[in-house]
Amino acid sequence: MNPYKPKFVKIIKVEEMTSDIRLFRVDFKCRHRPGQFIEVFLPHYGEAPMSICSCSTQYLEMTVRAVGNVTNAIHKLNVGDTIGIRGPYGNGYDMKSLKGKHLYIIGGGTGVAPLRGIIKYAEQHPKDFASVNIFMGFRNPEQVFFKEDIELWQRMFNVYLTVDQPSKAWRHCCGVITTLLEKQKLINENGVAMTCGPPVMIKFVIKSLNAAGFRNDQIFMSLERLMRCGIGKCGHCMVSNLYVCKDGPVFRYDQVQDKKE
Amino acid sequence: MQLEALFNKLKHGRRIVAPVSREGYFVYETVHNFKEIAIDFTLPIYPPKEVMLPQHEPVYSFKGANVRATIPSEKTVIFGVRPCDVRAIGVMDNFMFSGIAEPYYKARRENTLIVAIQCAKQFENCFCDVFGSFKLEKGHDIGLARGSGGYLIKAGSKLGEDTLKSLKIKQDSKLPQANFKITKPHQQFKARIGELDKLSDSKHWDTAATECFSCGGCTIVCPTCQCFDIEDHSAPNLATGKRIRTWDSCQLKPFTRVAGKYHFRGKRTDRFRHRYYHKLVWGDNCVGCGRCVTICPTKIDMREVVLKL
Ligand SMILES: Cc1cc2nc3c(=O)[nH]c(=O)nc-3n(C[C@H](O)[C@H](O)[C@H](O)COP(=O)(O)OP(=O)(O)OC[C@H]3O[C@@H](n4cnc5c(N)ncnc54)[C@H](O)[C@@H]3O)c2cc1C
Ligand code: SF4
Ligand code: SF4
Ligand code: FES
Repeated sequence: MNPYKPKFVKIIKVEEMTSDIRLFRVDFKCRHRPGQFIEVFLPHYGEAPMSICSCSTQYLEMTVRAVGNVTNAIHKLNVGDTIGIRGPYGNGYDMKSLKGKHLYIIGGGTGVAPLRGIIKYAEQHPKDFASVNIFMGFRNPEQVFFKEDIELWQRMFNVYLTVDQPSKAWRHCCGVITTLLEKQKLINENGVAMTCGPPVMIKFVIKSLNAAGFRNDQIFMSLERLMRCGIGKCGHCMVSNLYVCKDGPVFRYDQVQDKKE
Repeated sequence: MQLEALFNKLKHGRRIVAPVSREGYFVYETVHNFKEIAIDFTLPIYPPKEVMLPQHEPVYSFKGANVRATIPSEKTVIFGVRPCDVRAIGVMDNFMFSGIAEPYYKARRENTLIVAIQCAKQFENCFCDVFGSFKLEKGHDIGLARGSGGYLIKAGSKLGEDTLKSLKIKQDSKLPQANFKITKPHQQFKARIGELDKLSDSKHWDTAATECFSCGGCTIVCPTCQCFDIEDHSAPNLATGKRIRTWDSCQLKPFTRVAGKYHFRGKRTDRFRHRYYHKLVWGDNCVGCGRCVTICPTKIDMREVVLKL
């Protein structure tokens, strides 16, 4: 098996989430863990790593924000078009090891995408966890995505939303995500936090979690780096001696807290 | 043993890459005739890594959704590999074969026969005495060393044994080993390497990095640097294209650039230090060949930098 070779598959669903974010469902069947990623290839444009945001052996979903060459070209694709996929790559979350725990799932902006796979898993295994608590922050109400999912999650789990710039109609919290965290009583004993988002957000989330009594080994995070190969060979994704593509992208905070870039 | 006889026997069905003299430097090139080889070569300015990891290599070509990849199968002999480079090939093998193996490196490596040649003395900038990498112990297939009456020859691997046997070449009982005693300054350098994990905040990283151009020369010549990029090269009519793997360097600023123009190692000091830690701390990735010292346009010497931290 040549690990570089993508498998071309059909797009079976496209959903517009916000002005620059679309969800794509592709006909790629594989076993995977929440938090893993794939390399998406579009001929003549190149490859981009994308988090798997679904939890199914029958298809994969990814949430693509149009930011550059490859991602803008992906946005032009429709149902029935083909796209190259290789993977899944990375460690992902070992959900079985989290059985019986209180989950705190904390995401900001596009960082919400990789966390959706965890929540989808919890949807399918609701009895596995002591509680599921979802905290999501966005810039403004127009930037909120996974709206349909959120409606379902609000019925099943504890969901807390915040935006930096609220509109008149906004019924949820406003302000940065840490204000949201600080308002809730977090159960640190037997709790684990899983976070993904911009580096500044993560920094403050960790502060709040520590203040609520979470140890660093109870905090997991997904890191994002430039990736070219996805298989631990090209060197681009290194953070110190770690290869984010194979040792991560999910890291326990105590294992990376002292690493220099 | 006559080297020319060995060369002529190995030549059948195999490409031979050997050191030749070009514009005052020794470099590895494909040769057809023993006379082309600069057999009194010092340390070639580039390591032989290009045989296993060409600077540019298509990983696949595509036509629409039709993808074709060709795994190379050419048999190659590298004739005249210095012991430090033999060790470096071992370092690269460990990295490239671990986890998901890099398929092109693996295929080329498995089709490569290494004829190593012992050093009688160290050359300018060599610091193999620090790591003991002047010793020819394992990793080569056939070992050569100059003796009083010509070259001595001994197999270093099963492949080497079998090759010599099939070519009907008689082995010597033993190769004389080089023994370069570690110098005083190198002893200090070695001791300092052991303390590096505590020196990542040293002010001298900034000072040393101000001399660096971020040209990436040091990584290009390093026998254990493998980092690469993969890019699309399309035909003008966009009917076909290729994905090409190309050497890249952690010393170049765009190396960690993500969308939004953010660079994780945007500061030169961070890139500079990253190389030192990768070579000296996170595994035994430096073999002391000294090429990074020789090539550097501002003559930055790894040993001096480490001693001043
Ligand atoms: C593990 C992982 C998971 C991810 N998951 C998601 C996800 O779920 N959703 C999502 O939207 N995004 C995700 N991303 C981010 C996504 O991969 C990037 O946004 C995407 O690769 C951008 O590609 P682009 O070609 O559109 O952007 P561009 O900015 O056009 O280019 C992408 C990369 O190409 C290089 N490049 C472009 N131009 C130049 C130049 N002039 N010089 C040098 N280099 C250049 C840069 O290094 C840049 O990072 C993820 C990233 C990682 C690592
Ligand atoms: S060769 Fe010298 S100047 Fe160039 S990147 Fe390396 S240390 Fe810097
Ligand atoms: S770091 Fe320098 S001395 Fe060490 S192996 Fe690489 S090129 Fe040779
Ligand atoms: S993406 Fe190439 S080493 Fe991680």
